Amino acid sequence: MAGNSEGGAGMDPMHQFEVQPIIELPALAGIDTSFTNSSLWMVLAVGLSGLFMLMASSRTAMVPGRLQLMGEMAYGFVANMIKENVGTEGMRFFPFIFSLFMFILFCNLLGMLPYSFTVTSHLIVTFALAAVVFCLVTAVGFIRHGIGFLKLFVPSGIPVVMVPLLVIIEVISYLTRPVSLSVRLFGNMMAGHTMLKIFGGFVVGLSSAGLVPLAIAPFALMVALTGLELLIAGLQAYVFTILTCIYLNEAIHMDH
Amino acid sequence: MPQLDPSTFGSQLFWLLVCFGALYLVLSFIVIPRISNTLATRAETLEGDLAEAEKLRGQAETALKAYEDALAEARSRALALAQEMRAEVQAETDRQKAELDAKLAEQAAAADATLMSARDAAMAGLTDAAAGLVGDVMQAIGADKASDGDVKKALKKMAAE
Repeated sequence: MAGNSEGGAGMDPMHQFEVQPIIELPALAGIDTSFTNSSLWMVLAVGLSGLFMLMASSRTAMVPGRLQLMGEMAYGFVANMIKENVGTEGMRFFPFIFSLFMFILFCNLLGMLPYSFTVTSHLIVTFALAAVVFCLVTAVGFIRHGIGFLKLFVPSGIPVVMVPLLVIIEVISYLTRPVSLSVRLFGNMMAGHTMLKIFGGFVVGLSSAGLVPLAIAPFALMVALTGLELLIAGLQAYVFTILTCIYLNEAIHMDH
Repeated sequence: MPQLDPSTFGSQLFWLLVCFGALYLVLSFIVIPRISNTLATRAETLEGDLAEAEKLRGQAETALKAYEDALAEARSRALALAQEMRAEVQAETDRQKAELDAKLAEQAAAADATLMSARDAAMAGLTDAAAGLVGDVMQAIGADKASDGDVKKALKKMAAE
C-alpha cells in the first residue's frame, strides 16, 4: 500500500485504530490509566446508553411513549433472548447480559460516527469481555454441577476408543470459545472500518486528483457499506449476546 | 496493527472495567428494577381490567336474561288475560243469547196461542154463519123449517167427517 502511506496518517486505514492519550494519568498499581480516545468513546458509549435507559425508564406510564417504548423494547429483546435460550434460571444473569448487549451495541454504533473511535475494534477489549463471559459460564457450571460439569467434555453414546480423542477436541473447543467470541466481534469491526476507510481514501484521492466522475463508484459503494456496517454493528452485538446465552444454557442445563 | 500494541492494553482494560462496571451498576440497580416494575404493573393492570370487563359482561348477561324472563312472563300473562277476557265475553254472549231465545220462544208461544184461539173463534163464527146461511137457503127454497140447532148439528157432523 505504497500509495496510502504516501498520504500520511490521514490515508492510512489502520490509523483510525490507534490509541492516543488525551490526558496522561499516573499509573495505578503498575497499570497505565491514561485517558485515551478509546477511553473517551467508552465513556460516551456508557454515558449515552446509560442516559438513554435512565430516561426511558424514568417514565412508568401505562401506555408508553416513544422513548419509554424503546427502552422497554431493548429490555424485552434481551429478556426474551435469555428466556428462550437459557430459561427462567438465566434471568439471574439478565443485568450482566443486558449491560453486555447495550455496551457492545453502543460502542459499535458510536464507532460509525466519522472521526470517532471504535472501542470494539480492539481485540483486548473484546477479549476482556469474552473472558468475563467465559469465567462466568465456567463458574456457573461448576457451582451448579460441581465436578460433574466435566461431563460436558464427554459426549454420550460414542465408542470408548473414541472418548480420549473427543474429550481433547471438546476441551480445546471449550477453551477456544473466548477466542472465537472476541475475534468474531473484533474482526468484524476492524474489517468493516478498514474497508470504509480504504474506499473513503479512494474517493478523496480520486477527487483531489481531479477525477471526480471516477470517484462516484467508490462513493456509492461506501454509502452501501455504511448501511451494511450499521447492520453489522447491531448484528454483532446480538451475536455476542446470544452466544453468551447459549454458553450459559449449556453450563446450567448441560444438554449437548 | 495498533491493536497488537501491548502498551495500550493497561489503559484500555482499566477504562473498560470502569465504564462497563458503571453501566452494569446503573442498569442493574436503577434501570432494570424500574422497567421490570413498570412491566409488572402494566401486566397487573391489564389483568385486572380484563377481569373487570369479564365481570361486567357477566352482569350484562344476567341483566339481559332477567329482561328476557320478564318479557316472557309479561307475554304469557297478557295471553292468559286475553283468554280470560274472551271466555268472559263468550259467556256473556251465550247468556244473552239464551235469554233472547227464551223470550222469543215465549213470544212465539203466546202468538201461537192467540192464533189458535183466533182460529177457533173464526171457526166457531164460520159454523154460526154457515148455519144461518144454510137455514136462510133452506127457507128460501121452501124446505121445512129446520131449527138452527139441527143445522149446526148437521154441520158439525159434516165437519167431523
